[in-house]
Amino acid sequence: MTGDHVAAFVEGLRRLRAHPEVRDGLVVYRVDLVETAVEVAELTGWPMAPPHWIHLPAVVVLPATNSQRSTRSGWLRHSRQVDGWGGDADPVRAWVAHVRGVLATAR
Amino acid sequence: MTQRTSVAMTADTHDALARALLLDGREDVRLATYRPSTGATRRTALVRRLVPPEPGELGFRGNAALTGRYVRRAATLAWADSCGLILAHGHPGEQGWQGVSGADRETEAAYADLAQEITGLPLVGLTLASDQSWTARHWDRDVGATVAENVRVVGDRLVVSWNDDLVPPPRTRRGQARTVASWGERTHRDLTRRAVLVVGAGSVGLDVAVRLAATGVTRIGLMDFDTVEEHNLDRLVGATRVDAWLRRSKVDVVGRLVDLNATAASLRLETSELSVCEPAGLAAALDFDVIFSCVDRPWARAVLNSVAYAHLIPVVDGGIGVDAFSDGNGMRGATWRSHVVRPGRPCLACNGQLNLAAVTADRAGDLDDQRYIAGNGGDQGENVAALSVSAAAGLLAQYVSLTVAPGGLGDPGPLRYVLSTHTLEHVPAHTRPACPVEATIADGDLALALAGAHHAADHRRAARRAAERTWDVRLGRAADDLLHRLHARLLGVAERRLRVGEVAA
Repeated sequence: MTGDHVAAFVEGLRRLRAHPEVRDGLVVYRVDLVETAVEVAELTGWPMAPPHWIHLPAVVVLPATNSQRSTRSGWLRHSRQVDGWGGDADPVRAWVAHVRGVLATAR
Repeated sequence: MTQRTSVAMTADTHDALARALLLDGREDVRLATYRPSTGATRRTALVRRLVPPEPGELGFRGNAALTGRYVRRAATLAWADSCGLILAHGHPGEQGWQGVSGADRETEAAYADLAQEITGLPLVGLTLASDQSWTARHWDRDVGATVAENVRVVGDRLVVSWNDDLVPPPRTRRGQARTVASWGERTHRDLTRRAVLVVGAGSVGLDVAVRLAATGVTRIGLMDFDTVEEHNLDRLVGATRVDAWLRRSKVDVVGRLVDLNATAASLRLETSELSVCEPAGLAAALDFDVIFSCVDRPWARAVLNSVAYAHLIPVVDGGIGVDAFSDGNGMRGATWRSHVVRPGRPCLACNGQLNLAAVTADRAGDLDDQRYIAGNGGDQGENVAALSVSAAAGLLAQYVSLTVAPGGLGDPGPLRYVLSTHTLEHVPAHTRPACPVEATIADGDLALALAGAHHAADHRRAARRAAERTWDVRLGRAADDLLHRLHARLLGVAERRLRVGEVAA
């Protein structure tokens, strides 16, 4: 079942032209030219429960963030909670909107 | 293969079937589809949808008769939806749970193999009497008919049709006189044989479980992987410092209290040190008719939220929120909420009581990770015994409304009590248009399973096992167990003395 969830997430990103790729336990994709990722292991509840950590290159600095080392070299993962998950008919679009909102705060 | 069987459907599905089967007062027959819901010891057929007959697919030869074409078409539709087939008969003029008539048995037996050949699932036979009571059986190839133990209809009331042979009505006792007088013998016999699971044996779960036992419920499940600790003792009424010292599991301690307070002649108490988030814990939960959610973590609540829709088991949920001043000086306020989660009501995410976005972090163990907690400012989780009993009362009142429907009204919807103003409010809540949870009604085993490995539960159980191997805990437990056995023996003497008095009276 896990594979189905990842496939659904990747397919949704592909539909949004986010250029998703699965590598090293991450789904890596682009939002507004910024490369970002989520962990494959966090997609087992998709689309009912969204991923939690947003992985970004370390050069992307977020203010007041709860960050930890990413599984990808030179990257960090950032803890960013989603408010009101489950209200959008297209969950992938909702996820990308969440990531875009987080990126808007980047320095 | 699990041998206990049952059937469940929503009130809307029941109404649609009843209209088709009992419309003109003559015996009628219809086909419908179902999805299986497989518990640890019980499998339930969840009715999905009615398949109306097309012209020429029904006939009447004294009784209603199906054509093979109707069965093949409905079975093919069922297969395409990953469902099994239901053959439903209406029995106008009949009352209550019934044996299968010769004609019905012949009809079901005749189509059982064909239905299983096409759908891969056993045919399920249903019979509806004039008083809206259902009867059901599963037809497994090479096994024949396995008669169900009950059929549950989930709406603003939980209406259960009982097979008295498999689940006999409990004998009422003199010690239950006031309870029985409150809602009558018939309701009491129905209410007390429902299998009720309490998930979470903390302060609220303890109160709920003990009150259910005192009410006379004959089958109570308790599920919690946690251990009694000293910091629990100001809320876990009945647990002692001895229990904390001896590293007793919460379900052991609460189970002991449930046993002590049970008024049923025979209580079947099933304790489990699993989490409902673990696959085995989820399977155990699917064996019950009603579940109380007395947990506060998002993952467990998300699993139960899903069970309410996907497996048609009503979940009575609620909790308490104490709002403390950040300087530790005084209390700003408190609220406690209660609601029944079921098809027809907004799910926990829609009514604002569950953040589905927190499930993944909980599942990954982040909520137990000190680095994560420190980074997010932590969560104090305040609670006091004087108020947690109010949360338990809220849950129990929802359960009584769902079960007994006082004044003819079933579950009232989400309620919130505000302590600062002492007001009880109906909380407006609506299903979001694309709610992913409520879209899973009667999906059964095909629903997204949020269950998985639970490292915190593993860790708690392992720590408990390790403590149990130390000499002081082993000696302390031996002495404590002896005291409990002596107390149990004394209770047995009291039981016999009271029974002598009961017979004499």
